[in-house]
Amino acid sequence: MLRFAPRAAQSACLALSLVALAACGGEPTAPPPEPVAEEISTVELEPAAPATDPERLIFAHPDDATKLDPADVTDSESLLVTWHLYEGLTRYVPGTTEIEPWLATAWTTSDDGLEWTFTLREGVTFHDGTPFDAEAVVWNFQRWSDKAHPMHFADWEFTYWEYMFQGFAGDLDDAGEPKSVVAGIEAVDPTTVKLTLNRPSAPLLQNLAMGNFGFSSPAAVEASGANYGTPAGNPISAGTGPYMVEEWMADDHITVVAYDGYWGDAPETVRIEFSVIPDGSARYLSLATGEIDGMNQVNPEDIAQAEENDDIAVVLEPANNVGYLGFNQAHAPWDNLNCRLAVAHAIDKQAIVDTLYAGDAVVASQMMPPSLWGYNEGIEDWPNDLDAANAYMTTCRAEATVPDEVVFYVPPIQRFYFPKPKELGEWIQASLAGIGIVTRIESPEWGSTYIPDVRAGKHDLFLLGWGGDNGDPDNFLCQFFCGADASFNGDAEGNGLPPSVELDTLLREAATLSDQAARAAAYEQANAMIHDTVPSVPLVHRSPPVLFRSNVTGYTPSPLQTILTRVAKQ
Amino acid sequence: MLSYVVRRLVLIVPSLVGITFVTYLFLSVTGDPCTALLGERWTVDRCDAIREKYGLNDRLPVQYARYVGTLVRGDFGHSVLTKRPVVDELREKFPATAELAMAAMMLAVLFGVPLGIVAAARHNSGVDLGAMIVALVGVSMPVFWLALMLIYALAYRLGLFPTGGRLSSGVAIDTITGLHVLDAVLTANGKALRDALHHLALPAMALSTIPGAFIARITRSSMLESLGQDYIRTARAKGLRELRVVGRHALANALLPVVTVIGLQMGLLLSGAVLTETLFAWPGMGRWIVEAISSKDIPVVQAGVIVFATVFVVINLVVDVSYAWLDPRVRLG
Repeated sequence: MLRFAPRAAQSACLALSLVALAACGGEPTAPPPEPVAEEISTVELEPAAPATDPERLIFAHPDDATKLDPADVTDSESLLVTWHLYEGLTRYVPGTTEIEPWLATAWTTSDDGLEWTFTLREGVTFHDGTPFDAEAVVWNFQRWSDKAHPMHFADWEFTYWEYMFQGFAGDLDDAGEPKSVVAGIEAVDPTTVKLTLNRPSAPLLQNLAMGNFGFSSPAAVEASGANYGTPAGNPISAGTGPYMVEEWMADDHITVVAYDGYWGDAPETVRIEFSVIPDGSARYLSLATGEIDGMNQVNPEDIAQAEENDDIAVVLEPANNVGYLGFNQAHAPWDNLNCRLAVAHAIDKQAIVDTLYAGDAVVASQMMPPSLWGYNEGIEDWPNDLDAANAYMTTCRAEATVPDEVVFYVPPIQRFYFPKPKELGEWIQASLAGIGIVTRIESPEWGSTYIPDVRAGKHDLFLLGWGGDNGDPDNFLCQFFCGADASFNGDAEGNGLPPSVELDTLLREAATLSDQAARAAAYEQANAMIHDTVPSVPLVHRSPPVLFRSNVTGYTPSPLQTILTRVAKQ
Repeated sequence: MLSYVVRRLVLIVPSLVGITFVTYLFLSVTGDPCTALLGERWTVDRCDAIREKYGLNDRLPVQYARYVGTLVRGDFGHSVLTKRPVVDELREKFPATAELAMAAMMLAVLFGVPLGIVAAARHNSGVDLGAMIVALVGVSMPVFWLALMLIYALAYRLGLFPTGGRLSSGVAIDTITGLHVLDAVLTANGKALRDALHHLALPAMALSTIPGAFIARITRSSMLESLGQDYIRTARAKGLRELRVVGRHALANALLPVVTVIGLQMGLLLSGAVLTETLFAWPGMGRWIVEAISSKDIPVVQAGVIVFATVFVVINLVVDVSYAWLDPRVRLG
């Protein structure tokens, strides 16, 4: 018979045991029945959650930072880290969208709103030891705004400067006027800078609090050149924040350590490790085992499990976004208010929130979230009422021609405000069918077609959303309704038009008001007008959850940032 | 043999030219990186500015010629998303993928070859059936599911392994090759070696199942054919022990197709296992390239295509050269 068979089986067993031994990770020739008195062996053999270093907080997120120079980043993964490294003239009061003095301790404005004089905080240094002063502030502003600045690298974008300040130095609009809000900046003395504007900008202080406008050490940027903010930089980064970069292992983790020379309160935890775990389920399992201490970007299906797990605390950040259904008023019958009201009454938003979200969303009654000032508490949302919807639909058909098929754009991929866009689209399609509106869902490729098509007004109805940048209502409302593109209305040539001229005028004026109370009142009025004229149906505000181990304390949920400076492990 | 090898290496160049051109063509007609960079902030003006900045408004032949010009200088360009030199990112990610691929292939060979031999030697027995069921399950099981199950069972429930990553927090290692296991050996860092192997075990196990199953099946088929040859009957008739018959005479002649499959599978593994890398937070090339494709990060995609194509060609060459070593009848050149 085949006497070799046991030998072959032995070979297979040997192969198996080799793997098992490698897996155990201990000495390859000595699988110990009792733990050897070494840290690694104890961790390997104990099935319970390992005790993590109390001086190292490990926070996991799905992707690595692209760069640690906030001036050139747009992704949340980079900003998650840079919030801890850099500071700006103002900052958001923790947990809110209100601003407070930070590296600027005080400021004054000229009567025409075109000159802002900032008094700088004294005793502040960058992580490389160089002083933070007026010259450094001027250098940074010039680097951000002037393409000719030697450290404004040609293949960098400085995107958020362009977004928030509308252009770079020297850019002119069609009328030959400077596009940029900022005309220039000068150092009056070592602790005073004067910022000169081309036109008043009410959101200025909100913009300056954004993570993108934290100051870098000029010496550090010049030393690293185009490698600044990358793993090849030397230094990688140098802000004034409570943490500085200790190590960056690309695509694996970034470790930041408390900066000894920080001007303010020392952070609660000496080190934070921003660990990259791309898959949401794997990230959650790492948290459940105690390998990490916190995480963001939680899969909706993990939220319920987390809530039942005593070792995990679920924290919902205040929503800073909106998901909505938009009407293209350039296409009949959507220029008719009764048709829009019919749709507004046909959608059961609460059922959508209860079914398609995991307790991390609320019904939206307005096109900006409640966390923003200017939110109108007095607005009563259009109720889900089929009788009213049908009545409005009857009037709609009498006044306008409803096409046999309405083109309905639905995002093909998950977005942070719509975790289940396909299901949502089908839900709304069924709701509209119930009042006699037949829709054809189109979901062109997100990466190349969806948004360009929406901006070009190729749809009749569309689903989209928005996440706020700076806590200013203008960042939501004028973005939608000031006619910059043809999403909500357009002319025959396809150029964008505001859905309401009156609303457009109100929003543009509100952006220039210097009095905060007057601005807030203007935006409350705008929200009421948006509610009454129904250019869109706001659907949800989603509160992104953040998970921590139960022994982690001190986190303040915020609509604009994830700051771990005051977080500690008990 | 040397002239054969050199000739084959030189032939890589025209292959790469063709592959990169086709890739450039496909990527160009499927969109640009605007939406990946801008998201909901997309506007016509901003997208135009990006297209102008990256020369995407130029005609395709002009863009391609510009790209080839940088390539000839050894410059893969800069990532559109991260702005970093692509070659730097490649240098970071390729060793991670290579380490995982080699570990997975080792496991696949250690399991697959003996399994195939046993199945062939006990042909039509319960052992044969069992072995082939194992192979069938291995090749059928979705890697994504298997990886999650391994993480859930062995890492989460039993705590025997970490859930992901290449090294534990706080474990330092001096990077020489980027292969953590090798670097730990070269620097005599026992702690890092144990930790690196500990982290490598689960993803390597998950990734090895499909190639292991293929190798088992092809080994069995090849061994059956070999065992049916006349010279095997002669060897047995001469009274040789069965181990020598199978291991010395049958196996050696059965290995040619097995080596081919191993080579092909190794090429596939080195192309990067996206799902495994994603689930185990393994910072390799697979996930990097897939994200680059969806973001239309053309320089990164092109670099990936060039690397993968080169890997396949080199592996095919190694396989061909190994034929000559395994079978004295094979003459190369």
